Amino acid sequence: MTGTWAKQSALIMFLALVARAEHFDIKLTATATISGASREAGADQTPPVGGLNARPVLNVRAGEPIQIQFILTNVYSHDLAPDAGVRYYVVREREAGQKPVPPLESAVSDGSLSFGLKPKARIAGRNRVIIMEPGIYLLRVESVNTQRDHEHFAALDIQVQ
Amino acid sequence: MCRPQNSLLVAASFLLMGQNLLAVDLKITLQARAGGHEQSARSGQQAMPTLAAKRGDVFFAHWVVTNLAGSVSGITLHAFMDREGVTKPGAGALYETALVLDFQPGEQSKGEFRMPLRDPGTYVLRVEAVEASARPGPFAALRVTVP
Repeated sequence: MTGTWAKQSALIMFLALVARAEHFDIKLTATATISGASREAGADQTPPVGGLNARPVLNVRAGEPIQIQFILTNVYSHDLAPDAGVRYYVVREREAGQKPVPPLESAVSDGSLSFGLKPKARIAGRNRVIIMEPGIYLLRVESVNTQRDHEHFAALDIQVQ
Repeated sequence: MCRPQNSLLVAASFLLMGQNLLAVDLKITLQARAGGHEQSARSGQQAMPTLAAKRGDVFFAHWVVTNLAGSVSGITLHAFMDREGVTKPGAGALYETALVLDFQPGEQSKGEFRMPLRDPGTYVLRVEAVEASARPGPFAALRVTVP
């Protein structure tokens, strides 16, 4: 019983984080769990390829766990978008800030959710990623199939040393 | 002694609860694979299946939530993967997502993720629905062992 309450409390706290996201459509945070360094990115849009904003860079050591969290809010109060979704990925890239998204077949970690997107809907996620190979990596979370002429995303670069 | 109007209130409460229980009928199916092994689980299953993986394996999970009944609103779909015994997925969780949905009859929501398994341990992957009233709904879960 205690475990159930603890679990429900945790879920409520997690959803409370979502509920606080009132004035943006995407908030993406990556934190290096040993150094404590953290970077945050907000919403951008595509087209154009790669968006308009410069990407923050998070420096981590190879093997250092990275805590990733995103909160996406549908700020449009229009119709339901059936079969919409959210996708995130961490994939190695050629250089920091590059605009084209690398092929995702070689992603270090990725995931997606698909659902009927209703107005004001909120989606939250977090996961833990460990990158063993030094290099530059793209972390990106994006909306998918929202039936608009553009999609939104937030992205940052991870420099693994 | 139970007064008649109280009995009616109690009966009405049970009827309303019954209607709520009947109103939410979600089926959750969950599949996972790692290192050439596969395992699956579904809501209503009594025993929790185990997927044996190895350190360094790429773990892949996929789930489908299907609404088998009428329209329902405010359903929270919560998915997480954390060490077995952890009742409160937190900063150390390997994976966690939550979203609040309205479901039309027959509508589905899907999710999936992929990640390498770096740390040994015994993990539980769980996908659960929570009703708008915060009452726990159906869930599907499986265990992942990484020696």
